[in-house]
Amino acid sequence: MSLSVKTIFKVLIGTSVLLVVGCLLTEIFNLSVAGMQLKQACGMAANQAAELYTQETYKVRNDKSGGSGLAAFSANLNNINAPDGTLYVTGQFYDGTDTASIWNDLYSGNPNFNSFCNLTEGSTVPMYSTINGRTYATRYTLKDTNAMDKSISTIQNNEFEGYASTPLSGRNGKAIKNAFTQLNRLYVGVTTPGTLSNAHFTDPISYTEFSTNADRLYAVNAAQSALRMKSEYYTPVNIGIPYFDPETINKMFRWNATQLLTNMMPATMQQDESGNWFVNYKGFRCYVNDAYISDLEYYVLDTADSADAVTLQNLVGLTVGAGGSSGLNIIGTSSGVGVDNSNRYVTVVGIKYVIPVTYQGVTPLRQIFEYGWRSEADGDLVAGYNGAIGGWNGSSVPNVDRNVEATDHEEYSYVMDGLTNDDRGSVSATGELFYVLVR
Amino acid sequence: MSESVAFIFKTLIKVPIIIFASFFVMNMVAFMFIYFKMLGFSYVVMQEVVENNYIAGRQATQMQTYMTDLETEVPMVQYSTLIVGLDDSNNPVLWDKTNASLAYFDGGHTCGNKTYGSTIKAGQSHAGYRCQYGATKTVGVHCEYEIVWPLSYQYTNGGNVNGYTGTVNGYTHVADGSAYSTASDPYALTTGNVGDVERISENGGHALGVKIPIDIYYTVPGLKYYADL
Repeated sequence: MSLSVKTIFKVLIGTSVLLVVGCLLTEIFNLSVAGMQLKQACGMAANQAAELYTQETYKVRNDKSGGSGLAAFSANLNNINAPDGTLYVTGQFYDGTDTASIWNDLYSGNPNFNSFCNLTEGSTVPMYSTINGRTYATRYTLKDTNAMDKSISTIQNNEFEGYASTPLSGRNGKAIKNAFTQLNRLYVGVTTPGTLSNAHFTDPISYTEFSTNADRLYAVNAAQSALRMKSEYYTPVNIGIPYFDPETINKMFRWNATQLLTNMMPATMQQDESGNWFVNYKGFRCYVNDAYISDLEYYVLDTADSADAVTLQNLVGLTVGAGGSSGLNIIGTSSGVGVDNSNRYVTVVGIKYVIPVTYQGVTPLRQIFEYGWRSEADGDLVAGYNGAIGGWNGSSVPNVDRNVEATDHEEYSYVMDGLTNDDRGSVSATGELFYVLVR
Repeated sequence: MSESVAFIFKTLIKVPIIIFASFFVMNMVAFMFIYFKMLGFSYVVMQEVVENNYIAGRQATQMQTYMTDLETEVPMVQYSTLIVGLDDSNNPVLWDKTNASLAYFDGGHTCGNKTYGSTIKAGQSHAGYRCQYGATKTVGVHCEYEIVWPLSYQYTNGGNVNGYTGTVNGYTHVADGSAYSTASDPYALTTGNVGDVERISENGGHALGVKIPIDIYYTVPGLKYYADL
């Protein structure tokens, strides 16, 4: 039985349509499944980066109290290189060679730490980090909560008052260091340690001052506490505040994400048309070396406040109140210079990350679309030719014999079509997670 | 008259075709269901290793219970366990879940033409071994989906089949036609138990009892720092 011409064309067209539709369905399925997995993997990478940062692996174990005196686990990990040997993601999270130098780099003299301590309620401050020659902005925000509203009326930072006409650490409105006495002491110890050697803080307490509970009692105590914090490399994490240095947390996030997405095989990375290396994760081109933490939103929550307790439960699922531990049972410090309720506070940080991705697909569908949209020279001369291709048009005009090159043809690409502003044709995929430290 | 005969024959042919087609569709749906179930479970296992660098004893016990229940409740699932690493040839190494510890492997296990590893490759450790931040671990799930066809086999309670009192005489070896009665024959039936008869179909080469291995595993870094390591 012979097939008619019509039937042949029907079969051909039907096959083509079937192939394209099949590819389309496969891509849709892959997009939804792999997209979700990619988001989960990035979330895990960010969460574990936060976990690693708070573990402060650069600190040497204290051997003063009879400890073993072992050196800290290597604070840095191996670099991840692209297949051509160039550095893709660094494993050198910290700048410094020992605990002191690393701590100084992160806190003492670091403007980011100063900015964080003076972060006021409702404000957003960008902090910048430069990695591999590129600069990234991480926005730090202190959210409006009832705990912060109370801190302005029960300021804990006035324990340093009495030294100068202006309080040593400043009020700065509803700054986060107003909510935490210990953070304020750490801030003073890090930023103005020299001032704490003033006689106001170092002269012995007289009997009269002791018996009358003078303010200088608290000032001396606070000064000693601040200096001890500096000498023993205290950090906001030790106080229960998950502060992250932007450069360090970005490096950790990238390292984790690269290892997760490459299945521990960075040699499988590929290069795009522009020469940028990327991780091919189930059809997604992930430019992990440009991933970064874009926002850190801090919520200081009072466990004794009903509204804050609800917010805490919504964010991280921790429950306080009837039937569970209640912040009301945590007694604050009552003193002549203000009540310290920071023991009742829990700080939650919302971490938002960004990772540039583009989708190249797992089927030849992309190539099919690119082929369909590819246009040859639209009347303009193709580079290298004088208008006539040798041997084709029969013209007597001498033709340039030249091999046809890829650049002679106008190819479709997302970039040329103006779909994105990125030279890789990628868009920024974002995600968010909430991290909490509970003391 | 001839039309009615033709109709009868057509119906007789259609019925088994419809039955087989229905079983085919049922197998496809069941396979997809079990595959996605395993996919979700593998992700849980992977996340556990990423967040803790290993699978702790209690978690392993819960997983053991889950997989045992899966085998019991779902007839198509014949065997399910965890993949705890890769061997030197990059074959998955399966956990012998009759042991609570993940250090015991079901070495040499086969499913169809696939043979699973017996030892973890050099430079890596099994999923139950606690290691430091950045260590490489391969974890996942293994499950064997058995295709269900009509008349594949009959389940009994394991009692003797009428007429058999011991060695099953007269049965021939599935593969080469030799007699069954030789004790050294690896497929010899030493009891008249119907359960043993049933396993003829499982001993490879027979069209019925085909198992499809489902192996879903990930190679991930452990991302937890332990100060005591």
